[in-house]
Amino acid sequence: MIEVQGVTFFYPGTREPALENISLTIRPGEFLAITGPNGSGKSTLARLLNGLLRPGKGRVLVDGLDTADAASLVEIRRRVGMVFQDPDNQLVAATVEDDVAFGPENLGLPPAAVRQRVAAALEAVELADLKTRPPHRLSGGQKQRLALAGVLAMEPVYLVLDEATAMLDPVGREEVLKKVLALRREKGLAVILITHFMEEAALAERMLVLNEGRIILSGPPADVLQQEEGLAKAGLKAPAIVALGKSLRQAGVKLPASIVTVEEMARALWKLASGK
Amino acid sequence: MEISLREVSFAYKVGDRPLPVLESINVRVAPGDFLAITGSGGSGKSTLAMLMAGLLEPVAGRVILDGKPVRGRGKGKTHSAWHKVGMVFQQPEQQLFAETVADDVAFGPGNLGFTGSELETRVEEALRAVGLDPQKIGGHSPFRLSGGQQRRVAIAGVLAMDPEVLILDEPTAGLDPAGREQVLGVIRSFYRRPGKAVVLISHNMAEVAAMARQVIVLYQGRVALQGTPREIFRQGEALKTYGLIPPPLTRLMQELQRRGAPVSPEIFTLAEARAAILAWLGA
Amino acid sequence: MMVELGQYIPGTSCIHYLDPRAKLLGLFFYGLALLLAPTGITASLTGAAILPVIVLAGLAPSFIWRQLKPLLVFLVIIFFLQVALTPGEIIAAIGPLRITREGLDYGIMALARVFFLIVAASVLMATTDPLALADGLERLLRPGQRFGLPSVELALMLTLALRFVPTLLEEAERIMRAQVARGATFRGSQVKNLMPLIIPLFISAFRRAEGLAEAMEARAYRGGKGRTRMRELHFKPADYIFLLLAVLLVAGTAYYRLGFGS
Repeated sequence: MIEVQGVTFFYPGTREPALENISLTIRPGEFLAITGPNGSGKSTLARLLNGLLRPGKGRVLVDGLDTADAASLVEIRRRVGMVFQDPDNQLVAATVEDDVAFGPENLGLPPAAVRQRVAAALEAVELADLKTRPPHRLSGGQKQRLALAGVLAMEPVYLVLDEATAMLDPVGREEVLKKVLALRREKGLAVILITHFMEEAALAERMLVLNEGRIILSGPPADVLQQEEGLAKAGLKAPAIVALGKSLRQAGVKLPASIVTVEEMARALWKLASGK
Repeated sequence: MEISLREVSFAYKVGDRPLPVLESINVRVAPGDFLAITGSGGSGKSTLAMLMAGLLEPVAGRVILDGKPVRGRGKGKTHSAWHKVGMVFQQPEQQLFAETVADDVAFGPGNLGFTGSELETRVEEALRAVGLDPQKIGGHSPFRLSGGQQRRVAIAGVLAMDPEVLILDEPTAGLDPAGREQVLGVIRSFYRRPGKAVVLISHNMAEVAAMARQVIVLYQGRVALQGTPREIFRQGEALKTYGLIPPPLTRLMQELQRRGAPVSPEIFTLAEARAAILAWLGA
Repeated sequence: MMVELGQYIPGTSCIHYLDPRAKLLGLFFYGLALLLAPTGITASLTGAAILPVIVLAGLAPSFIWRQLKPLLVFLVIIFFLQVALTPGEIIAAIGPLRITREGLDYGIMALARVFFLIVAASVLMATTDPLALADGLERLLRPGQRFGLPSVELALMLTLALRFVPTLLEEAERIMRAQVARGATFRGSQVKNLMPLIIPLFISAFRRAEGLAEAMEARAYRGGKGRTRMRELHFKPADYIFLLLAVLLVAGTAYYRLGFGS
């Protein structure tokens, strides 16, 4: 469990807090989406979860370990893996397999164990065939899957994706997201997805909307995405499917408000049509 | 200004072997056109944009500006015709370099030889066109601005050269929804001016559908599909083969059609989708 | 686009197969021998020891030429400076230029040293995976850790450089094109004209460095302490033979240097 307790955070030299009095609990295995406009504090929150940033006020506990305790940081970072936005800035080695090895090497694992974890992680993200390739010769989606493998090789409990799909094309985005969700199913990983694509956030069990450093909406996507006003305050819009659902309901079509994805909508409409 | 590419091919050299990127491409853009070029990563979109902007030269075929075959920018004795073609690269904020926003925007028109009050006017107009106040922001360092603002400054730097054709490569990538809307608004208002043409390189099919009149789908360096957005969406499931993901409402229509509902897969706006579904359910 | 890094040419020759540490030490001994060789002729003969290595490595003769071509002017200047500026017994005079026997000898010696050292370094790069090279360097410098030498960090810096050179080159190309699209010409020698390229590149490099530091920290990096390596290196008999030959080369030139040979 990750517990964020009353956290306020200021960047050095600023007077406005980047985050103000945030409290939040993330359960193991949970799928949480965090959205909000640029500058709302999403990325700051992400960096507090693995101790890249320490709270000015309040505490962040990862399975009981305090991120303010320097002695726990290696274990915290092993548990909370993070994939960043820019694929090029997070790949550190000149080949795919050496990059995956970086984390386990930092954990001080013996060479044989490192090799085993690298092989397993590359298998999991389906990049085993490309293990000797230099990262700059991969596609965007492949690069992000590689970054994912680098995190998996540390056998994390929580996976934080900080706008990890923002720079990808739709196919690359789907490729990465599918992989992440499959890993969650197989390994029971908790996924914390930071995104400003509402379609992606809609897939989560729970979503948060941040604006100006505060949580302004929180709950299951089906509820949060109905709150047009709140979303608009954060410069966000409900996904097209949610908007369509609302519009159809207003026209008297009996659709449940919980529909957020294309597949759910197609199924519900089909049921309605064939029910007649 | 009319840009025309005839039977254009392009290849990069890797070692001694050519690596083909584009093959036998024919494209034409004339005033009043809004052309979207789409395709999956590696389909050659960005390369085609650079060929159309004269920043690369084809290995075969011809590039024709207003009826005259020309070489690339700065090659041979190329005249200023290329200056009427503006190009906004991916993440254009990375090209900002000057101490102030105004200086940066002035770089392009300055290179064209504009000075004094004429230059100032161009800079101010360009900043206003992207929704920034020249008085308020012109003296700021561009590096102090937010990501979305930086991008708009970079676009202003191209608009200040007063192009007739504006080529944009993934102009909204990486922006938040509000930032995306602002940039799309800038493009729309440029296009509304008489005699202008836009070429939008984008993998975002919702954007393509909402903005473009004509669409070219590239696949493995060749033109796979060409037509209006509706004609493209009519291909339905086939779009997946080209690595394209249609907008959500179009996907919904395709899914319903696949199940046997009598709805059109060409739909991409909320109003159309609503009408189509109500008609189907009501029948 | 498509920047191919360095001159590493993958292969299966016995030179490729050598331990990177043996090759690094070999290069060191070879350079030492070149420095010890006391005359133009001995330096040239010492330098020629690289020729069988090139043959064994399966590198084409044109390989040497390609490495040297960009440095040709530099080599010619070194040669002529030595020839022209060394006093001694005059053997020929062309206009104001007096060529001395000593000058010619020094010229040949200097040329041979620089020429062969460049060739040998190129052979090392061509036959060794850059990563293995960085690994080898780390292990060789490891004893220095006791004296505060950050060998792990140095090797990591080297791999990071290897990793980022292609990325930054691609970026430079893109920024250059973007500025050309804004009418920049990059002509003329004034630094001012290059600012639209240099400043964005610097900013981007700093931004990347920052992002990279963060990403490394997030992956539990905390300096060299406690860090292990996936790749292991083992000396094989061939490595010992190779090193023995290199040491013999040093001994030979030292023998001449001390005056026993002449």
